[in-house]
Amino acid sequence: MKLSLSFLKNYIDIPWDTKKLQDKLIMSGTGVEEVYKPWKGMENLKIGKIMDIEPHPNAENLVICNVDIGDNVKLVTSDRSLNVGDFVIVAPKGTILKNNVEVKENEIRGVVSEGMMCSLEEIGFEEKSTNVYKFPEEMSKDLKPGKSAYELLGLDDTVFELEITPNRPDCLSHIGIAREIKALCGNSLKEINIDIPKEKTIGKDTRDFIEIEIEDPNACPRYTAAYIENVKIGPSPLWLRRHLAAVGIRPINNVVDVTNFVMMELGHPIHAFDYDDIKSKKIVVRKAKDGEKILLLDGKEYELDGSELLITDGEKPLAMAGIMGGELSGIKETTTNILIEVAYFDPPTIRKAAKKHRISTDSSYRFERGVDPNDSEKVIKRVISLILQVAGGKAAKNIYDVYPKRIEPRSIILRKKRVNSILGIDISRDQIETILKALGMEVRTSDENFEVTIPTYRPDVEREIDLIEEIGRIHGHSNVPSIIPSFSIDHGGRNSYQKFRLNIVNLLNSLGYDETMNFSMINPEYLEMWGFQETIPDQKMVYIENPISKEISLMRPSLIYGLFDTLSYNFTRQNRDIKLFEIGRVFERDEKSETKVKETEKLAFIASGRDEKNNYFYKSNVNFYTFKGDLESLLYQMKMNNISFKASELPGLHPTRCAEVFCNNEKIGFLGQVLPEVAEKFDVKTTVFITEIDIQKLFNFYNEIPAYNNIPIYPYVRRDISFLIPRNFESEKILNFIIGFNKELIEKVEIIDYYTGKGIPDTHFSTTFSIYFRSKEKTLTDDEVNEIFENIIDEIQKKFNIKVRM
Amino acid sequence: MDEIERTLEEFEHEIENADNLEAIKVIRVKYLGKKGKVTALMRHLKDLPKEEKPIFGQKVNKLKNSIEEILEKKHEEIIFKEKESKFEKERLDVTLPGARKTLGHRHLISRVLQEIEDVFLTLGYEIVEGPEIETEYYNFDALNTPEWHPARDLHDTFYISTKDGTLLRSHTSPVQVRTMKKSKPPIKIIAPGKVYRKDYDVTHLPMFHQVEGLVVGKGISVAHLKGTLDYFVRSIFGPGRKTRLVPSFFPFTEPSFEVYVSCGICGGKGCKSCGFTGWLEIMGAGMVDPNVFEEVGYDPEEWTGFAFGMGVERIAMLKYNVDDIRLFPRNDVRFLEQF
Ligand SMILES: [Zn+2]
Repeated sequence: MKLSLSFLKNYIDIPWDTKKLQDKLIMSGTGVEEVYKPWKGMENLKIGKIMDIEPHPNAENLVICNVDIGDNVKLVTSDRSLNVGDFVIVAPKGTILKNNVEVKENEIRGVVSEGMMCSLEEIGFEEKSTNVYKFPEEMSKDLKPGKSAYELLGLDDTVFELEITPNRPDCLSHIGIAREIKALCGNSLKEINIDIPKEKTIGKDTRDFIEIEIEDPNACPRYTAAYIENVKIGPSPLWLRRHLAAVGIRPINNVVDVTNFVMMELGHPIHAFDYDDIKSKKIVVRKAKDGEKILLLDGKEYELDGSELLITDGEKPLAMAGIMGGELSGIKETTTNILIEVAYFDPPTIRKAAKKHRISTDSSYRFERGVDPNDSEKVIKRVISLILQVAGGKAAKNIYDVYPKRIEPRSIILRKKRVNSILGIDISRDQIETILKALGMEVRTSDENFEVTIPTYRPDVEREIDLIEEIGRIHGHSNVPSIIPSFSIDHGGRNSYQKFRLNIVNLLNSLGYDETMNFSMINPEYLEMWGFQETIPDQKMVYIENPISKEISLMRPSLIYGLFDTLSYNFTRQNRDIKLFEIGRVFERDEKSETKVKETEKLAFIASGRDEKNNYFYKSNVNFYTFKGDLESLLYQMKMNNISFKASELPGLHPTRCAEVFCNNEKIGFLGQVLPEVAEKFDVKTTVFITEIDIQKLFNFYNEIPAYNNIPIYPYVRRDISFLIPRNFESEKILNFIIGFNKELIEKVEIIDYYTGKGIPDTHFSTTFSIYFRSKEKTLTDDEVNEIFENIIDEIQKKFNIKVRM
Repeated sequence: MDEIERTLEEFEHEIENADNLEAIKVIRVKYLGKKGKVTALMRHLKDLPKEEKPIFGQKVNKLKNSIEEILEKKHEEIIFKEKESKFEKERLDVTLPGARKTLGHRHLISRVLQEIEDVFLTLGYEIVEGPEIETEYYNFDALNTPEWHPARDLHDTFYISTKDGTLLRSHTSPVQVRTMKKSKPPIKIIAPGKVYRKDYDVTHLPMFHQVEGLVVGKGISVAHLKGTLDYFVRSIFGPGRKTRLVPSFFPFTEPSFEVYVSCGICGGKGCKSCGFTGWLEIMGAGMVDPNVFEEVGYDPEEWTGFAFGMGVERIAMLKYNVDDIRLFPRNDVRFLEQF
């Protein structure tokens, strides 16, 4: 909300400068987002008197005015309606007008204009002007050529852009902020004039002109109306335009401007009907009918579903209650008799309707947060008084107030002890009482407790805790001591899963992988691009119902899409040696779950380019085995034993370079080379390897504290043997066979060489196994070892039908 | 010149030209060996007249000692030279960069997240996580934010199904509710995790990270909230940084605060980074609303507590001077590898 300080000064004297006021408001909970002077740059506007008008020598449609602004200036204008003796607003060169238009000394077709004469549009007092503004006759006694028009018009204003939290509708008005300042500084509020001079009333009551019926008193507990006849619709006086312009409201006509002014003043939205458009002379407040239609002031027709509250004439809707008036019953230039509405509507009812139809107006904004139900009389009298002042006419002698569901002020018991124990301060009984009274509350005390009556403009204060908050924010929190709670809980720190996960992160960093954090939402097209849409049924997918865009509309069923996207982004920016990982959740529908979605935390990593980009002694590119080695290094470092791999075919991955990963025979993930044709769809023209592991499953097999093994006493004996192995053979079988051959004496088997190429048929590869023999009881002799070693070789050759490579 | 002097002169000449250990060995034999020249002179001693014997003997001994001394010196000299030339051949350019292992980098958000967690771990908090897809109940209703409440507009929410009332959590507060429903007070937790809001521009991401904290105990007051946040701010941003509580509104806390930290650039005097206020907003906080306690079955007369919540991206941007929030999900390695 925009708060104009000159507007505000109508209601309270402010004892502080602007900066202090800003601080005071902020520290008591009224956010100030911006402070600015709306008429900055117009300080030099002057009152000018036209002394002489002469034709322009070179242009028929222009005239040259000699204007007295203390000195005499020549001003060129196209406005032919000006007369000698008119008082105008003169903007000398250098003035910045509305929309940042700077006034310059211009040569206009051979004649220098030393500034310009302003229209109301140019100073923001009117939406669209056709002529230079001439001060009206009645002001002439205040008009002295050369005097400041900036001062005369009251443009030396400062505006605060306030951020009012949704619980404080009472602050959506200048009187509301004045009440806050009153509570902070103790100054009292100034009276607001609501007098209606007797001579400006007619003998009849409002109820003689209109019948009011509230069908749904829960949705509309109060409806107050006033009848005014013979108004003259026209432009508003300058003071009214200035107040509205300062708070960013477009001036429309005097009657509507008054309703807007009073809303900004007192916070209660007001609606004005053209009385003569209410043919039935009847107002019926009722819920809409399903399918009913209404044409509103924004020119749009809305179809209603029955939850909306309407102001009707008994048949046709006149307005969507509290939100927007109807197109057909608004104030027009021809309007002469008007009906003023000041109502109180149930906030949720207004909010639902405004939300459903996506309409947000100054009116709905206030009603849905809650206005004061008990200020209607004051508000409507203020409106009548001002309309009579600016639009003439006469008012019915009494307003018509229908209030079927009275809303009484609440009473709350407040305990002094509780105030201090929540706020952590020591505040006295007297201080509490002073603050509450300054906030407009009635206070009765008994011993250490208070009975507090809450004004109805504070719908947010419902409970003792709300009062404690009030005391805290007015008292200030800067004096609250700073204490760290001393109690401890049963246990703290990271749990074993969190430690396990952090361990993975650190190990992957050590293995050279950069951590990434991608959006959990992906583009569903990726599924198709990867060829995954066939393997994961669409009904398992978790889509966002209201996404921002298609690119982020599907909750990822796997981490690989986002990770590959990131690799592609980097690859196409000259980063070719890439190792990345991500740990995050993947999503899949699961009717059994509370949220109907199952979330699983996974790890994925991806690599391409050089395996060790900073090591010039080791120049290998990432390949299947180095990549698999990274995964194994991670798993073995975490003592995840019993890991195995099975060749498999997965969409998007190279059919003969892809494996599923098992831990204790349970599938925990996969690893493989990305199919080149998939990679190319993402502009990646290199070999890429990717793996994804279900770390929650993996964690089930994780031993935080692995068992300790004795350090061997006797030396090992090593024997190496190379085999020629067919490419479609699984070497794991050989490894398992060797390990299982003599569990007592064979400690471990290592692969020390992998070779393809010269001397090896295309269909085969050669691998060298290094076997370590060791006994727990003695030093093994060569003979003992050789015997086992030769048996192993023989049996492997026979059992797997493969040959030793000589 | 006598025989002795001549022998020494000859020896000195020969040793002068010797440049390896083998040559030294030959010279040693030639002079000191069984058939060597000095040995021959020694033998000559017995043929001399008695009165000449002592003088000659002394002279020969002196000669022998000199030769031995020179040989020894020369020997050491050569060994030293040989070592020197061996090292020279093995010389390496120590300024050539090492063949480094490539180490990976933590994502800045993950790193800051851990920094934040670690501060609270030192205060004995537990880390609790919860689902990213939540029900309206946990995300809103249980947090004192009924359907009609304007506060629901504060978060524009992604729905998975409006029919089922399932959504992407807009804050990690549901974890607080789940924790309270599961366990009895006292409670001291932080809840880190991903959260989602329907906002995507220069300053907002549709997915970002939060850490929320919850402390429930007996006699917990605003003073405890203040003490905890003061400690947090000094631990993360450095000693001397100040904290300020500004009254605000959240449906699930009462009173509620926005928490500001004094600007590290201007020290609170006001500058461009802090919008000339001297303060930077870092989180929301407050005393747990009694309605929330009632919802989870705690007696608000017996238990009080505070909660706070911060955006990790925001903290990271302030602490590491990152000026574009979109760098975080972009994962450009040229960004990642700076941390
Ligand atoms: Zn600053």
